[in-house]
Amino acid sequence: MVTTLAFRGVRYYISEAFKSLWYNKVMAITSMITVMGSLLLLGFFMLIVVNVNELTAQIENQCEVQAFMNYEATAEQEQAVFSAVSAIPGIKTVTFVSKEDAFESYKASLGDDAVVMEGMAPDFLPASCRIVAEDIRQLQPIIEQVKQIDGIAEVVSQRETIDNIISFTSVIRKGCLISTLLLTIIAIFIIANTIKLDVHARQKEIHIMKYVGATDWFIRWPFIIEGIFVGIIGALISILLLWVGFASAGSAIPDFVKSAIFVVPFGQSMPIISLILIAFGALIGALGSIIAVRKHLAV
Amino acid sequence: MITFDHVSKIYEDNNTVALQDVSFTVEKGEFVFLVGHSGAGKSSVIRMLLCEERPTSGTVTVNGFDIGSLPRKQIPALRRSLGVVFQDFRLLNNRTVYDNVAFAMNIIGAPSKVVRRRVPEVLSLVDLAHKARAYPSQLSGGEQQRVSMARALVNHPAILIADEPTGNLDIKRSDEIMGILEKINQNGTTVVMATHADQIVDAMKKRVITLDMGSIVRDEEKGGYNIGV
Repeated sequence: MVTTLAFRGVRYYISEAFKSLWYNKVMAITSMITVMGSLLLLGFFMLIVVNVNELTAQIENQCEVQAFMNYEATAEQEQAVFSAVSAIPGIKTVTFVSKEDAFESYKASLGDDAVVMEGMAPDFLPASCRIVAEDIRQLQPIIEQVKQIDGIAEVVSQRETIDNIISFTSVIRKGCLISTLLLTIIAIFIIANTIKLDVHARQKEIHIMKYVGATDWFIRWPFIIEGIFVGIIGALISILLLWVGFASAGSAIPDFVKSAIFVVPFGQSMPIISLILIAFGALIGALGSIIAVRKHLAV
Repeated sequence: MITFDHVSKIYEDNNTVALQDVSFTVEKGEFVFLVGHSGAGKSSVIRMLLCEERPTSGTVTVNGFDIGSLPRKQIPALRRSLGVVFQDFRLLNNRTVYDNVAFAMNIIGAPSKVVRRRVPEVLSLVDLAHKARAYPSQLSGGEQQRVSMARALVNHPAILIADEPTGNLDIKRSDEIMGILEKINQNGTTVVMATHADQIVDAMKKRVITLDMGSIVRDEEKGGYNIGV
């Protein structure tokens, strides 16, 4: 009984919501534009965050520490140091660079100028370990432990670069998060106000419904569905604009710049962002409606 | 059906006494007029029947609902057990006559099959079957009031409450309304009607409860309109 009543109700609520949208076309379009604007910015921020996150991850992976061994170390000692370094927890990869490897790669880096190395012994550079940490924030403790190992002469890291990257990305993440929160709150209130006008115009109608014995939810549901619909349409328009915007901007900028900015390809991040935007639009619309109707139900 | 037991209503904001120690009972199938000057307390009685107001002291029982302690969530259930007709009709102007009446059935979740059968039935009872597709603004006052009566009756209420239903109508239209009310009453529905229309009250020869300054001054079977000067 309750289920059939609820099911019958859903059909009624949906048809009421669409009738009301039709009667209040201008208001509905204003709300849609509001949602669209907020979600457009939100989508833009999400694209930034997704790319910043990916960029950070890539830099973190590339960020390595080089631990140089004593110049006089024997091959056995070098192996012992390598094993000790490998045993440190939190390390993703350790690569052993022998004296010969170092010599060859140094020579290669000089290119045509390698002639200056003519006559030098291939063991004039010390052996070393290249270390990549699992988490960039764990790098400093790892460096401290590596320094304690007997046979390590010097540890070279790009500490300042790493610190800069960490603080820069966290600023961007926080900035986007705060802007998103603010935008969401603003959007909810603008929608609430738009729907409030609609509700206010229909105050008499709501009172009549209450006199005839309508429950609060019976009156609320059509407004909520209306809000959700407005929110979803707003979200779809914002998604469309993001696509069109990036497609036209994409053809204007050269590929190598694009691949530097869009670490995550647009087509890969957009489906999930679209889903989030649609969910957000629906949520904003529903909350706006609930806020708007609340005051008028106390009869 | 309706019991007022030593009911008083004092409005706190301006300390007005709207009702003072009012007691009466309306049995099933009765037809009762509530008469009195403006401000005598008729509206307070009507508002309490609908649980728009609650008694300051005493108890009000309507269709088994205790108005004084009725939880907010139960108010719709109370109102569904009543049919209400107002002086200003209170129709939904953006819906047709048919939809206005069907609305009261949609609220209680009536199956559309039942709605399609019942709405024309009740519209012909008030003689408006031919106006089903019209909007309230296209109807005369008397017709609008008949629509609101159809809406009040569509769910077979045990009690019909009419607050000055003829207040905006001329004598001929008023007589039509009273004819319908009497027919409804003869079918077993309890009718409580607040009114200023002395001629109607005198002609109907029904029970008359007269209020003055918030108290009952007369309660007569087959009474007349006599509110004193």
